[in-house]
Amino acid sequence: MVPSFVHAIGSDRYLTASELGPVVGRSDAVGRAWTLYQRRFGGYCETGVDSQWWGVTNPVRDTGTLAMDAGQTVIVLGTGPSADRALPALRAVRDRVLVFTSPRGAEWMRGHGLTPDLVLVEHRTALDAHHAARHLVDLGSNPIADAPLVAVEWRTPPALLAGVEVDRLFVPDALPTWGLWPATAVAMAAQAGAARIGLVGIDLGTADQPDAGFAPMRELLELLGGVCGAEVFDAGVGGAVKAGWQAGALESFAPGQARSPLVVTRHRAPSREQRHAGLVTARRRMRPQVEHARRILGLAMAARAGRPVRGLQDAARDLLVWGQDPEIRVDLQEAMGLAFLPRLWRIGIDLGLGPALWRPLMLAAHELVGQAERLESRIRREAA
Amino acid sequence: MQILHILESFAAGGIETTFLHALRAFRASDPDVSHHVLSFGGGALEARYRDAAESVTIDPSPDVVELCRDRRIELVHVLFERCAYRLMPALVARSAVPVVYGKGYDMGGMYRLNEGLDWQADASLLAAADGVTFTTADLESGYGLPAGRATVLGKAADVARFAQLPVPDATTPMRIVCVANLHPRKRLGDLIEALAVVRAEVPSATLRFVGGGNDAERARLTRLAEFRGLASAVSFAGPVEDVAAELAAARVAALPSSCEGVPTALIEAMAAARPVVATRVGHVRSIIADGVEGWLVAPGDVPALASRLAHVLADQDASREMGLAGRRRAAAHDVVRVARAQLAALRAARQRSLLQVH
Repeated sequence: MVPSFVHAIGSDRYLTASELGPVVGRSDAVGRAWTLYQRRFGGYCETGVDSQWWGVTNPVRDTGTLAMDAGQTVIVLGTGPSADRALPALRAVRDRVLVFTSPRGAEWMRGHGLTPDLVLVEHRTALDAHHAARHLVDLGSNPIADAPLVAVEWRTPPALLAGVEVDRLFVPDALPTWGLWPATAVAMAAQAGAARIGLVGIDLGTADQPDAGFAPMRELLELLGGVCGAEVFDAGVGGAVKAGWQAGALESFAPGQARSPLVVTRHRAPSREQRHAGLVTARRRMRPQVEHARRILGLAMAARAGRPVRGLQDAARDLLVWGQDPEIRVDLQEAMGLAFLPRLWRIGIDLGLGPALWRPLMLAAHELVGQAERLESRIRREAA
Repeated sequence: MQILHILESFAAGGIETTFLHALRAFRASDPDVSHHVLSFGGGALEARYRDAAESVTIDPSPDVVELCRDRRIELVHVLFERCAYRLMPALVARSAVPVVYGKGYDMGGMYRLNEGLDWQADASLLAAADGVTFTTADLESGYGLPAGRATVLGKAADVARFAQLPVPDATTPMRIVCVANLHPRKRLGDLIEALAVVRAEVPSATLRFVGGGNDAERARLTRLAEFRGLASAVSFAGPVEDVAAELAAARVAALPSSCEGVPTALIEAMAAARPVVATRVGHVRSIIADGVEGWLVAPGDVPALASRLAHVLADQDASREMGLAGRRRAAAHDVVRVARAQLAALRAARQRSLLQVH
């Protein structure tokens, strides 16, 4: 099983490790995870941010809990160079291992006549999700349509799920995610009871030259490898070393018996109308913050134009204080889909910046007011 | 002055390659300015960036405020959306160093203009920057930035290098060259389909793809060429150092993409005096007038693509005229010229910020 702190930290609902303590307890692993979250993820994974409100139009009907028989091996398959090298081995063991992958991985598998057991559709930002949806248009067909199970987020754009039967879709309960799909897939496999979890094509550079850009992913995989309770191995020959992941050939980790199918215990999720109604309610709750942000935006615009302005420091304090209220914080992050104000709660604003204070005020208030206006028109459109 | 430029990686992409030229031009035009580079990851151009910059830092999760303090940075220039998205909150909230956001055609810009993607966060980043540079006026439109804070630079390319190539003549192979990553978005299969039609009129016509990218896409294109009986007429150069040599050996450049910004590959082809046949997407029209420097067709319109390619291959006089018109038009995109304007915009933003503080 995956410790609860993985999900709790990745949910971005806590600003400090001490706030997290009552939820998950204290241990060295929690401390290490929190440090990683701060250092590599800036204290904000954005896993709950749905800036385009795709959660309302997402076709998913069910949430669900994934499970598997004891003794199963899960391969988390990416499309790095080691996947091509491992293809013969993957074919040889395919009937004995479960394969979790991404839409790109499913596309790669389809090109080789293979089908994954589960596709995880997860993107860090709306831009990444749009990019993936655009790729599907270019492909002309959806490579995830053949997968027996497709795990998605509420914020997954409907366009990415085109052609997928709704019975195959589910939103995992308490998705243990920090926003990086290979790590999420590992955590899902562990949570579902996998005995062994292996990586193929999750190279993150080469053994000689790990790609610095993938350091957050590598460190997160290393953390998960140490706490997930499964035997973990890396069969991506030639890829960057991941501490705690035993390197070796895929065949040597595959069990002797055939794989058994995954099981999802499903629960009916809120309907589209209910999700829409939730958004309307959240908008009402956030009205005071939006109105105040509008005033702050006016102040920031005046300061940006070079006009003498008073009250910049007070405005910055007002923005920061919202972060202290867990309900306002979650509303602004998740219902309003904000990227910047939540970051400012975590990194703070230097109140000694003088006239340059217009910049953080502008960044936060411009986004908040802009999102509020977009939400308003979205709600009107939905109602119509 | 110490400037920190922030890139996503040193991969040999269009923006990274062009900015490397700009960096060299910056140094040549004003040796008193020191240029530092921060990148989230490495890549093929890393060594060249190390040669061109005062310092290079590779860190996927940098403390950018600390870095600015250490290097005594006086201006930060952010080149990619993801870099701005991740680092600007800390830069504006914890330091007073002015920030210029260089808005080019990476994903957000491209999807905004091709598909109307409305990404609030990016608009807010632009609003909070001390200065913004845009690649084109079309890209600037709709953001509502106040006058004086935004500068339109024009798309830059290493025009001088390509302008040295001789104009195609009767000895130049009847080759269509397509400089593009092998990616479904580029719709490269349309060129193979078009080639099958073109060869009815110009039997010696061949097609060469120049660029790296997706192995699966390469396999798909190879299969398509075989299926059309064009295996010997279609070749793949892969990612190459010397694109000029590839252009020199071709009569015409083509780009059939479904989604683009202002492609550097087309400006380079124009500078090389090759007529271009491209799709009418993104802001391609801002550099090519249909029928003047080349031809524009709708994405996916293979008969039109084939007809225009056949025309430029078969009519050498018209092709020459178009090539020369392209060379003239490309001159405005010379990277040295654009870099000069870019450096001036960076200085102006810093000056504006200083005036505001005092």
